[in-house]
Amino acid sequence: MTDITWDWDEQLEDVQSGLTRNDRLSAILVVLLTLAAVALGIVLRQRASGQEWTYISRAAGIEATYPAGWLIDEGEDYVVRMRDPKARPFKTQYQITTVPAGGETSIRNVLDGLTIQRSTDLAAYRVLSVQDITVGEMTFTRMNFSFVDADPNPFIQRLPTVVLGTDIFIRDGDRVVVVTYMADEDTFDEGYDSFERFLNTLRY
Amino acid sequence: MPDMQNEIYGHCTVCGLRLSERLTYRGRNYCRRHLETFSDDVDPLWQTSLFILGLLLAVIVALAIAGQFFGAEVTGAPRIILGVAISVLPALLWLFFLTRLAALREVELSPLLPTMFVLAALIAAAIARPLLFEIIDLDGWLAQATASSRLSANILLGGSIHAFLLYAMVRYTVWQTPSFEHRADGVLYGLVTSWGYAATYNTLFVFDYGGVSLVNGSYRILTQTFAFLVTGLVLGYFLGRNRFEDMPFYFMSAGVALAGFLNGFLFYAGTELNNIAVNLTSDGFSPWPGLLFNLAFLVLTFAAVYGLLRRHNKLTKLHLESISA
Repeated sequence: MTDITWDWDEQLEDVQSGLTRNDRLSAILVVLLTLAAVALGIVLRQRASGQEWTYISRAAGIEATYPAGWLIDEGEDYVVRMRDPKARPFKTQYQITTVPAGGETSIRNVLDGLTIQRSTDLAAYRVLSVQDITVGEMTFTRMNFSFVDADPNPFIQRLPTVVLGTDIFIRDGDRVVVVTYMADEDTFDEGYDSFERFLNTLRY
Repeated sequence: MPDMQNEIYGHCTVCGLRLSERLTYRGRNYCRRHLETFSDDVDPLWQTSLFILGLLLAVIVALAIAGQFFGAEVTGAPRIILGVAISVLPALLWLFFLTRLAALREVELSPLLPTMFVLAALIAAAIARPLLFEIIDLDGWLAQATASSRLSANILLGGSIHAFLLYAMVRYTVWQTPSFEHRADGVLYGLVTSWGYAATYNTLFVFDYGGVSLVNGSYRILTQTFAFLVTGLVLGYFLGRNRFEDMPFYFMSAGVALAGFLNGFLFYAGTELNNIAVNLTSDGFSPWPGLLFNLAFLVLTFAAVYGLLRRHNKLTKLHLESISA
């Protein structure tokens, strides 16, 4: 008798609220399911953000891994340029160039040639420092520089950006491999670790 | 097992009135009037939807011809006007023709339809967009993800969030009110919220890019609209069934999961299929494959939902007639 009364009360309550036990469970389950899907999506996103892709140029004999999603382009003046498509206003980039350096050509000659060329191509180009660095048993030359990047379209309403850059000059037999990192001054330091990882993966 | 009893009192699932006789259908109580009418179809819904689908086909063909005539590039203010028109006009026309046809046929439609349309438009702008693009940064991830990651991101983040918001708008507003009095009203509310949601979502997409190109941009907007409509149809089917039958607790979550999966999958397919192979050595872009795939999927979903609802309604009526007899 007691059981019958209890069933009746519960059923009456269900009818008055318009919701059955299945409806209530269903409402909770939908929310949990959505939260689980979004959480899983965010976890996948975090895992993917640290991914790297490999670039190989058989023609230049160069291989390196770079941050996933960066855009690659190969040009006449350089072997490869890798750019972060999300970076604003200046696209953070790595560039690898090879310069013939046979005979008496020294790193300093290559460095000076690059400076002369950039001073005509880039606005307010300045060499900030040149120094030799030693990693393990190898010695490289590093040149820090800066220039101003301004949109050539005069109707674009934004201030010119000060860009900082670093060249690493590596002698490799009869050529010099120049690895360049450029980013706007606000994000340069932040991205330098990533550039060093890129440099460590470089094979030539 | 469906049953009808006259033994106990209760309240009607639809109108909430106290019952002098208790009539149940699959775990829900009804007054006599609503027991007989909840399985009625809403013909203007299907007819208007078919008409707008035909109109969209004509727009697709017209844009392709205009693209050949005037070139694919539109510049200046017309870029924005074109994008906003493609985003908003089909939705407004659907709502307009639906209410006009219902008035002509003397079919009583819910007065809450325009409200739901506006609510969906506001939720897309106030919740979906900021959540997906400013907090989660879905676009940023998609730009640098592999194909499989893009599929996962579209389903787990984009699809599930869109489907949940569309579901919640109906479930926590009209679902339990007397305005939801037919099984087909699920699809009605599913579609009206999808249209409103898609209109705002696509309009903001247009503003983000400073307008869209005549063919590629317009087709992209239509492709996204089709994905939202499929989501609305699927959600509407599940909401409509669950409203009038006490379904198992996992039924509605399966529906939201399916709708989210399809939304994400169609967003993925709508862009990914457009990367085509021009020849053995080079790739290219065509706006057609994604658009046609999503359109075909929408037509199939529409037919499936229409067929299933008609079948359920017919079976319900036969069942009730057999009990009455």
